[in-house]
Amino acid sequence: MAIDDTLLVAFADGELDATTARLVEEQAAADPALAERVAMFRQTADLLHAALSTPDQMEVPPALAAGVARILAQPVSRVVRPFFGRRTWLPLAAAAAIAGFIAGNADIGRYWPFGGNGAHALVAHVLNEVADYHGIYASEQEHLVEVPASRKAHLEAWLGDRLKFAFKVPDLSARDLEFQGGRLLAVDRQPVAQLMYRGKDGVVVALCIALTEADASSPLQRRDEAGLALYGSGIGHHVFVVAGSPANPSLRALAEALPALLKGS
Amino acid sequence: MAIRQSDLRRQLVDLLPRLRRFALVLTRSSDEADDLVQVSVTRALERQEQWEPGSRLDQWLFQIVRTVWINSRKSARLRRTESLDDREDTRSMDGSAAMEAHLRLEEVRHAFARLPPDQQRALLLVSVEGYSYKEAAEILDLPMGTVISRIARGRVALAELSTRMDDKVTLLRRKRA
Repeated sequence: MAIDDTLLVAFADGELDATTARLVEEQAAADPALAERVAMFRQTADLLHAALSTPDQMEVPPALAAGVARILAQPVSRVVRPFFGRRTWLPLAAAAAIAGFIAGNADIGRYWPFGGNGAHALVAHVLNEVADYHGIYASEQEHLVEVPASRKAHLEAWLGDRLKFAFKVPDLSARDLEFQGGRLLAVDRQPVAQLMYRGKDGVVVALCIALTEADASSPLQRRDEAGLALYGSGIGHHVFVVAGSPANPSLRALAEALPALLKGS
Repeated sequence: MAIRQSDLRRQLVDLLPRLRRFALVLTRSSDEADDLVQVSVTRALERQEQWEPGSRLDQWLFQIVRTVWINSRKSARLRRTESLDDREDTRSMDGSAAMEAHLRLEEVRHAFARLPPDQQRALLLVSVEGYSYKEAAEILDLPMGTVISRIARGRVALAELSTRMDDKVTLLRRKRA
């Protein structure tokens, strides 16, 4: 068998079948020049992998990360919001999930996020969705919210109407959190109110109220998602979520108090 | 059948460093690589139903990046301005050992940047990304024999170009001359 570079590099890369590999191995063992060449092929692979895998080579420029985040948040469907007579866009994830739900009964069990897991799973699902939203919106400076804090009363009326849940925007200034405003989101075709606060350190904390089709009653649970801590609990057909930095020690207490805070207690 | 959408978005973000590295090899320009990645992500979202669960999402995305790049070249929208080895390296270097390792890897990067683009692409996919020859051939839409040939020639050229590489390489070069 003629041994050329393509055979040697394939041998060095582990791409040969066992029989051919054994033949090459035997010939390389008997020929130092071949053995050296195999070593060279292995060495170049190792060096190249190391050279192109250093942190600077794997760096994602902030502008690119921000650009991709904007793309991932692009609307592709909509939720009709007759209150304003205009459209509120439903982010891609929820829209595509809906498409998945609709596309064929045989697939529903695969897509349906709640089946058999009860209220706890439902809250966990909402936490996952909120994590996605928060990761995108919390990094925004100029466009952190859709409706500014100056329209707090309007937010309360509008979102309360959509959520079928009368609430007051909590004043969290005692917790060093300043209300920035809010927006309407959607998870599984149901409205979600997102109220955004910014701490003195600039870190954003979000309070979310999600309307659910099924009963979500379940105790507080925590999830950690890529540098984000989320607490959520369910009461009836509403899920209450607090999302913020894992380094914030008061998130849990805030989450425990959230239903009462929203009631103005 | 579609991947759970929030999972797809999360995996896309996780794959960004690798997609950008591949885009950088294709375009040889930081700005163009960033543009290419963003267009590719958009394309992936538009065509997400085409991805088959159970198959490798990263491989599918690499194919999209390559396709977008090919199409962009056809429309002459991508510029060629900045070579890989022109990129500024601002890392700090502490200690002679770290300096030595850094210089060695830097030389490999410079040698890689001087390889023909077709060899760079094949090498990146196989030797860096760890794709099999067959997978790399699928991503690049080339016969597997062509990919193997490019990998072999690229590795030989890399060894010859990297002046600080092992003495064995120099010896091999003399033997082949």
